[in-house]
Amino acid sequence: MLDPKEYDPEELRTLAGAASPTADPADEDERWAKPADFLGQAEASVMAAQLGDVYYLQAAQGGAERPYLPSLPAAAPGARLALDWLEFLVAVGGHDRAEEALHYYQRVQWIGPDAVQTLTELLPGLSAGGNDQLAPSHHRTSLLFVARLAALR
Amino acid sequence: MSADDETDGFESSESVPVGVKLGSTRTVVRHPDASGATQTVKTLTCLATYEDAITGSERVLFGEQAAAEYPDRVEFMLRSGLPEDDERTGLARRYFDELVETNGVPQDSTVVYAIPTIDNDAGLANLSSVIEESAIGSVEMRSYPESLCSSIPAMGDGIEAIDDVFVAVNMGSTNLEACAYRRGEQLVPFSTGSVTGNHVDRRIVNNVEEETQGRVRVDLTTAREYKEVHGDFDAFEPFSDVVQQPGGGSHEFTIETSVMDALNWYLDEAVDSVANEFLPDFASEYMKPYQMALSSPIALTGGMACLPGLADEFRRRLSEELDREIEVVTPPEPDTAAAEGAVRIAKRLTGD
Repeated sequence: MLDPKEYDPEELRTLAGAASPTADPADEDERWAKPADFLGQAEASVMAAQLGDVYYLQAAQGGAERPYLPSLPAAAPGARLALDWLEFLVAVGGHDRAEEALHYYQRVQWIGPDAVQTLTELLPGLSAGGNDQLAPSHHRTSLLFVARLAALR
Repeated sequence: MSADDETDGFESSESVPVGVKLGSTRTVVRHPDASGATQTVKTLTCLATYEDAITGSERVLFGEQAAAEYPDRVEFMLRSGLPEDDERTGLARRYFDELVETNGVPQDSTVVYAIPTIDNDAGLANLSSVIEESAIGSVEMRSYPESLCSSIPAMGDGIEAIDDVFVAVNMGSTNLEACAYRRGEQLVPFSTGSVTGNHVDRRIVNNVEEETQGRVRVDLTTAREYKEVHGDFDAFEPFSDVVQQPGGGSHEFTIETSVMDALNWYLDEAVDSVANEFLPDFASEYMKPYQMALSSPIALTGGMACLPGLADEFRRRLSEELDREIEVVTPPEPDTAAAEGAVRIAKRLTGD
């Protein structure tokens, strides 16, 4: 069957005379741009901090396995951080969108069902917030909260 | 086996490269003629049958002629993107065989098909049977995602797109496809059937009825023509049309808002799907390629990208939604870009 999803990328690269991205991992490092190559200085420093958080995430679990945050950390700073995260989500999108976002994060395996349940139970305690759609930048911020919470487990 | 018999896909000097896009609305075939100049066959993907008044036998009309003469019974057999059942598969086979024969598309050819990436295995199997049983492509056949083929002419004169990291958004009649490509490899393909050119046509039908206070009801073919002829994000101008009244006489009416209302709805939905469904998944799976791809122009392709000003308006609205400046490129001829990209790959396969 001529399935367009089943084409051979290696053959395409050969036809195009393009190098294989997996030919040599050392060369590949040089081929990929660094954030500072194309971002403004301020955005680059934010990106560096985000990468730092990802390293926390990897350090927390000996490698980033999904879901990144199966359940919330027991320690008190974790509870404070979780509330900060929920306040952020509710402030942007309100209770319903915050809950939808939590389920979305479960679907993409950022957080596990136990974490969703605990966080959802905390939601009604927060005062009413905004009514905006959550944008990719909000989800990126959520990922940072996930990374920090995972590092506390 | 002699050297001439070897068809490894790279050195088939006797083979003619052909690019085909079997679209839900239009089919485009590009191939070089005897002089080497590239020929383009572009026709509506439809047929209509009628009874010959003299012999009583069934006759068939194809493409624009069928749509113009038999709008009441013309059949767009790929209306959903792929042939859904045996009947439509049979019609698609009849249509495609007639198309390649009438236009002299060479049989000894290497054919690359640009096909939408829809999760519909039955439809894909039906389309595959049409393609595999057709007279062309006796040397070699390949299929690639339509969004990749369409992006190739947008990104350069050759097939430079294969060696790049970019996001492609294909705005078709039956699907909105978004996909990231990393040096030819497809990452997080996304497609939705709820934001399409066909939805715009249906909205135009309803809008016209509303705008004319129920006096005019246009068919989908007319709505599509209004969209294609008058849709303009740069400088839309109200236009007039005339319908024949059932009891005789005619009624002239002017359209001011019906077309652009539908198009603005479409563009908002398309931007929302790309920004809030496709890109978050891409970012969560591939952070670095995501940043690289968004720092390069997004390739905007498909029939809807032909509308004047749409690409720039898409860029503006997506930049606003993402809160960062996005660039957009479109192929020089969006409506034939998929077949053009396909024929460029086919040329490489034939060793051109």
